[in-house]
Formats: sequence, structure tokens, C-alpha cells
Amino acid sequence: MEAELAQALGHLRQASHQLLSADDPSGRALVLAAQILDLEEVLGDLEVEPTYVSAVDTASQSLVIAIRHLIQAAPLVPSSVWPRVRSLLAEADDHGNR
Amino acid sequence: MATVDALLAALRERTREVALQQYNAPDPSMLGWHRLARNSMRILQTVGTPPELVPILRDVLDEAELTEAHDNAPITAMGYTLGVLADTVNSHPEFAALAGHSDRAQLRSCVLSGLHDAATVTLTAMHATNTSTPSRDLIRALAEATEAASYVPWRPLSTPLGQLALGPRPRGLDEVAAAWAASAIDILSSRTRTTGYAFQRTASSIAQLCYAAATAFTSQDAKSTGRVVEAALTSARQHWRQAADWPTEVRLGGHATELRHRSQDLDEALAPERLSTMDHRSRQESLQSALLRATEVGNSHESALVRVVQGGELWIVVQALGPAYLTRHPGTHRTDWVLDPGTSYGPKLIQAVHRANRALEDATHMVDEVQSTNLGDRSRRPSRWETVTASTRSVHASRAPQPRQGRSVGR
Repeated sequence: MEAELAQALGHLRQASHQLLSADDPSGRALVLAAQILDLEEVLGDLEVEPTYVSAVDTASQSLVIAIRHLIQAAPLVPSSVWPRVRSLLAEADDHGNR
Repeated sequence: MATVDALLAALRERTREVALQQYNAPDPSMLGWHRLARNSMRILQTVGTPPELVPILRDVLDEAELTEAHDNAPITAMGYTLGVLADTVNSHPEFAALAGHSDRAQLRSCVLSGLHDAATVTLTAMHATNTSTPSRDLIRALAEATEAASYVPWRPLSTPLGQLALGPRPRGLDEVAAAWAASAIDILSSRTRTTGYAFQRTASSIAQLCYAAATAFTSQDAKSTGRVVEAALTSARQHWRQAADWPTEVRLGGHATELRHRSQDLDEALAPERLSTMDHRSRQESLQSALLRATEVGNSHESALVRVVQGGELWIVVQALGPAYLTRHPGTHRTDWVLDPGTSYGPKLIQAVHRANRALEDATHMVDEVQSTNLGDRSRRPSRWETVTASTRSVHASRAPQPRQGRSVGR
């Protein structure tokens, strides 16, 4: 289960990197990237090292993969994380396809 | 706590329950109407009461004085919901004042529509039980006076009033930015607690701040001065985004919970819907002050990063070190994290934040110049017309950063 969490963290890191390196005239990608950084920080309390993962096509895809891994590691994940995840998914639908 | 929008949705639900009551257990009297009328009036006083309704509601208050429905009655729940809605709307009257005609009218319609449905149900019950004529006439008058509002379709409010909720008064940008800067500088100046999150998050917050400032300094100032300032702030924002964008091959673990909270506070304070509640001048002054704090954070950021990189504290994934590293270090895996043996990643991060700091100082200096000019103009000429003065034009030429005499974050 820790391996799933490590994978989730790896994909979250890719998602924030993809958002921060994309064109962002509206500023929304920056806001979303900051929220992902916050999620990484919350998950950092679990003392799990992120796995280094290769980038997928878009930040939105990275986020979805990360969340799948988080769900696999659900018993380890603090309950406060899930509202953030839901909010991130909603945002990513609108702005994460980059 | 529930927002005004959530309370309006709850009011609609409570109203529906009252309407359903007529087929269930109609309340034949005016029980519960005192609270309903009183709390409705508290809201209507803020968003505007239709004049013809004022005497009717006063009469309802007199007629229904001190008579309560039982605790579980739908009309009681509706009265309580209106009470919380009144408390929330009246907690920050400036939100209602700035909400604009459309949202004030929508809020008023929601309240009047609720009153109409409650009056209609009560009237039906009164007919069935031959309740006294004065009360019946009063409720009929209320139902008629509020009928038009019952045809207005429900929609969420479009201004910050919809997101207003009871709770601690939202802190101002000055206060939030000061707390954020203090937390950021505290963790960045620590030799043991500095984290990758602290670097990336402070950089992204500064980028967000530059974005908000660029909007504030150009939205109502289409002059060339505004465009120059906007360009400088946009450049600073881009550089800080790049500084926030750490390669995924590099990391620096640790916790920064306090900084996370303060950064989220800053995000909220910089949200367009929050900034729009401030007048133009206050918004510019607060953002100018926040930019000055950001320059302090930026300098701490750069110093801390130099310390971390030169101290070899960054972690790097072995895969990024090439196959030769694996050959020299048997037993090491491509996905392992090791201390950076001196790759170019660290120096590139330092270069990025150095450029970001220069761009921020440049932009902040321009903002200072424009604000000083504006202050001078305002004190000399309290006219509603703005004039481009010689000192304003000089801003165009002085793109290079100047020594920042007399600037301080406490100003």
C-alpha cells in the first residue's frame, strides 16, 4: 500500500510540473499547481518517499493516475485529503488538460 | 458555516416542506409567523423592502406575537433558516452593498417567494378551519404582495455575497500577506526545516501575487504607464512560475504545515472575488505592500536555495545521474533517491530564482514609482481627471531596478 502512495506522489509531482511549465494566460494552471503542491505536503506527513515516474501526456492524466493510486492506498490516506482530491478533479476537468 | 448561497438553497427546501404540509397536517393558525416575519424583515432591510410590504409585515409581527409553532414544524425550520440567513447577510453589510442590483433583487425574491408560499399554505389552512377574519385578511394581503416574486426562478448569486458565511471576519490582504511572509521567511531561514515544498510554494505564491497585481494595476488604467507596469509584473510572474517548477528528478523532503495554511490564506485573499470587494485604490495599496513583502520572501528563498545546493542537501533520482553512476555504485537502483553529487540541477534552480528576484524587484520598483506619482497627483490635484505628469512618463524610461530607498515591508 505504501508503494501505491509513493506512485501517487510521483504522479502528483509530474502533474504540478506539467502545470507550472505550461502556458497559463488565465493563471488557473498556477492555482491548480499550488493546490497539488499542498496535497503533496499533506501526504508528506505519511513519510513515504515519492517514486520517480515518467510523465504522461497531460497534467490532468497525471492527476487521474495519482488519484487511482491514492484510492488503492485509501486506508493510509487521511480523510482530509479526499475533499481536496474531489476539488482538484473538478478543477482539472476545466483547466488540467494541458 | 453555510454560505448565503447554501442558505438560500436550504430556504428553498424548507419552503417546499411548508408547501407539502398542506396535504399533510395544515397548521390552522399563525403559529411560527412571528419568527418568519421578523427574520424576513431583517434581510429585507439590508437588500431593500418593497414599500407596500412594510405595513403588512409589521401587522403580521403584531398579530403573531410570541406564538410559536412546535419545534419540528416546517414553518419553524423556515423561520430559523431565515434567521441564519439574516445573521450571515448582516454580518458584512458591505458585501450586500457591493453585490449589485441583480444579486440584491435575487436575494429579495428568494425571501419574498418563501413568504408567499408560507402565506398560501397558511391561508388554505385558515379557510379549512374558519380562522378569524383579520388574520386571514392579513395573510391574504401578504400572499398577494409577494406573489410576483414567486415567479422569479431561483439561481445562485453571482457576486461574493453568495460565498459569504458566518465566522471570523475575513482578514485583509495586508494581514494575510504579513502572516504568509513571516511563515515563509521563518521556514526558509531555518537550516533544518527548509523543504522543497517551501521553495516551490513560496515561488508559486509570489507568481500568483504578481498576477493579481498585474490585473489591479491595469484593469482601470489603460494608459501606457499601466501597460509598462503590467508587463513588468507579468514578467516577474513568469519568472516565479519557472522558479516554482522544480524538475521531478529533484526533491527536498520535510514538513511545512504552517506555511501551507498561510499560503492557502494568501490564495483566498488574492482570489478575484475577494479582491473585488476592495475599492480600486485600497486594492492597489494592499498589493503594493504585499509585493514588498514578497521581495523579502524572494530574497530569503534565494539565500536558502544557495545554502541547500551548496551544502549538497538536494536529493536526486539515480536515473538522472546516468548509467555510469549505477556502474560505480552497485546495488543502487534507477529509482533510488540519493544526495545530489553536484549536478547542474541545483545551479539551474538558483539561476531561476535569481532571475525571478531581479524581475520582481524591477516590477516592485515600477509599482512604487506609479503609486508615488499617483499619491502626488492626488494631493496636488483632487480632480476626477487623471493627467500624465512628467514624473509618470519617467517611469517608462527607468526600466532598470533602482536602489529602493526608504522602502520597508512595514510601510
